[in-house]
Amino acid sequence: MENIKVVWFQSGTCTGCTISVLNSSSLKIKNLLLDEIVPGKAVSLVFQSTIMAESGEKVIEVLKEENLKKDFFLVVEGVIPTKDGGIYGKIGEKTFLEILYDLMENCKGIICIGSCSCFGGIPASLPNPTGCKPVKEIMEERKIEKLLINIPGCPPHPDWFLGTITKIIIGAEIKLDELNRPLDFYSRLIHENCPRRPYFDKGAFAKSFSEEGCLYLVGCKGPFTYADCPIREWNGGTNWCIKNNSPCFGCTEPEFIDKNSPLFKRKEIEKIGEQK
Amino acid sequence: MRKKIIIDPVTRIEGHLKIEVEIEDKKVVDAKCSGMLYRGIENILIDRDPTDAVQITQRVCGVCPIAHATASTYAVEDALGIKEKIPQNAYLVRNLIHASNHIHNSILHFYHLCLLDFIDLTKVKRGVSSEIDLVCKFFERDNYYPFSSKNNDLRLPEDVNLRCLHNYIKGLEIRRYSHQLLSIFGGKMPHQCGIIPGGVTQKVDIGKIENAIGKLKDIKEFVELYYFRDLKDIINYYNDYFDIGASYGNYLAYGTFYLKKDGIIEKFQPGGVVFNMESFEEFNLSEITEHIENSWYEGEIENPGKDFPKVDINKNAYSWIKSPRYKGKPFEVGPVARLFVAYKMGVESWKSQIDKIITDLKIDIKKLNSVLGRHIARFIEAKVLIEESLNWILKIKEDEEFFVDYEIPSECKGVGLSEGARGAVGHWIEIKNKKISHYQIISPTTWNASPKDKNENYGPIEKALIGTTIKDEENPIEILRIVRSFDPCLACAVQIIERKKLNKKEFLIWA
Repeated sequence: MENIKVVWFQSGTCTGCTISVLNSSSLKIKNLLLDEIVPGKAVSLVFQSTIMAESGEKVIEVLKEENLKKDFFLVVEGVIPTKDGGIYGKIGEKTFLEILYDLMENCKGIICIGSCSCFGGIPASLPNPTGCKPVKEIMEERKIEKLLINIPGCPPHPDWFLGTITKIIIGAEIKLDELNRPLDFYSRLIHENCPRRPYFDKGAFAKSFSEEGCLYLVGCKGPFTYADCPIREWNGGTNWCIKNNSPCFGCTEPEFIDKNSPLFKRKEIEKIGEQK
Repeated sequence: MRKKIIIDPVTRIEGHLKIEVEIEDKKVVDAKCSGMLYRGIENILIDRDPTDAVQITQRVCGVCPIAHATASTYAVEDALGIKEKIPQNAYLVRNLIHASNHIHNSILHFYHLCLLDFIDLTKVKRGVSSEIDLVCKFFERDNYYPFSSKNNDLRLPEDVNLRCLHNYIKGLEIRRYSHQLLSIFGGKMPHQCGIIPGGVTQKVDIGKIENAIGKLKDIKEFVELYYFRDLKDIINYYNDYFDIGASYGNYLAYGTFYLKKDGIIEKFQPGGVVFNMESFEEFNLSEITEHIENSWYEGEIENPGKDFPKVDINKNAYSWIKSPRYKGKPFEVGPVARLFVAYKMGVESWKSQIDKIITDLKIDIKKLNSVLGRHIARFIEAKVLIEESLNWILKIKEDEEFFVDYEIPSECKGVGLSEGARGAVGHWIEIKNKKISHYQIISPTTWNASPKDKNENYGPIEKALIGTTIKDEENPIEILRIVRSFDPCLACAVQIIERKKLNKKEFLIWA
């Protein structure tokens, strides 16, 4: 029996990524928390502050190196405030930044869940009030070189995270794009598989939400956004943004939100993203 | 002799919270509630399109984004003066989205955030149910985390304990259904995309209606049968928690679930103010003030909006949270506040349900001012909202409008009031040159988890802690049970705007 230890560290987050993973409907959350993922292999989620039973010092204990013994994967949810020495986020008298330095140094690999830890997300958008940085930037500053997988999305689809975890557990190769995103989930543009693509090709554009058509003119960022939402759909296949007649906001891209804002206005196409 | 207990982090809540109490003769004599994360989301809204606010403000909180989506949308629509033009269908769909978020939160809060304080996860045996078997196997694999606990005040008999634990796991699934219900209308969850100024993006057809009714029925069955039974058992074995965790009994609700009736906009859940569990008053926005004596901001705020504090990291303070006060007094917001307001106003749809449940539980309404009372209130809300959602669905008229077009004037301002599962949420927007020139949010946990104000009044959570007897100082479970009963959401609580972005003469909050 192999228990793969995971520390899920929440820094500057809205907890949306945690809630999204709780929503998983293929491999369910009970499988992640209690079950084996594949025969003989289970995830041991030693630290996840939205779920864990203990509080206070006893959970800070868990994070100490003598207990983790360099044998764990680190999941980071949320952005890292760095302005003024990182005082804008603290747990147990330590800043997020200090805690993260130790965890990054000692872990076997890092999985960033959500656009905040991957690219900065909304808290790092202009004027970036607390000097937020994504994990990759902090790794580069600290010259830490190790496995980094980015699972962006605001929030990410639970399958993107649990699918990646499953691949790690079964030891399968995870191919990443230049933004460290697994190609399994982020290799196609929303635009490529969009059910409204025929409207785009015909030039039938909706100019308001009361009209039927391609949503490009009301702000859809599908032509610039890599993710498999059109095929996977959200909340157990219930719906997803464009199926709900809402533009894609491009939440899996580093452009979210500064370069994608105004969210409900057309983004000029210079060159639609190329297929990878 | 005084002794200090610090709990940091408080887990099983949203966000980063530190609790510090001082104990004398086993009693809490002083308490400090500290918000430990500051993001400044409001600053990010400045100079953006007003329509962006509905998406950006949802990211304040991934547990209760709908509170912000609705408050933001109502603020923009108020500024644009189009509230009456919004189609009834849009109000109905928004209410369905909003209600399913509240239902989700009641289940999440009771089962997944709080129940581990009352049940013993280690007392399991094989052959009870497949869910319990999973827990058995978990411990057989030499696992402890994340479920290890040193809590020694666990009182449930074996059969009740096993049933509650079973429903902890079953509840994970039911909670997911309520998000699926939401995404039928909202596209995805967390951070839905259905609610926008002007209405909702998607029309509702019979397929959606059928799907939603099915989901509601599954959730209703679990809530009315299992959730209520488990709650009653917790009440039964932890009855002393009716006398633990009382706060001021001052309650404030903005009310929400807007609907048009004869061209006028009404709220299904009313707003108002209740003082000391007794006297009801109409709510008046201009009575809100904010204090920062114990928050890491410089200067002083007389009236919110007139002064904007700047971060002061060297100040002798203990929280990023400000202290909003109503008529100078601390107020609790959340489900108990909403129920008290509706009850005191005599709103029949709420009063009859509250009476039914409190009669069944043989308690006086004033017992809602307690740890158990807050759990009961969340259950009552979930139950009422499930039933009302079924009514709302049937009122949708497929062939009528769901969205109206509008123009954004170059200058305007508005306010949007709504309710998160955790309590009253207010958004204030000001628009200049068709862009957001100002934005302010006051979130529920800002009220509940606020630090002491300038008149030395403790915040509602602090007040609820003071006077509590701590049986075992090594394991101050009473503190955690009290704090969690408020369902604090720290990501929401700390939003503030820096002074340098603003023209000081302008004011923000207006009635």
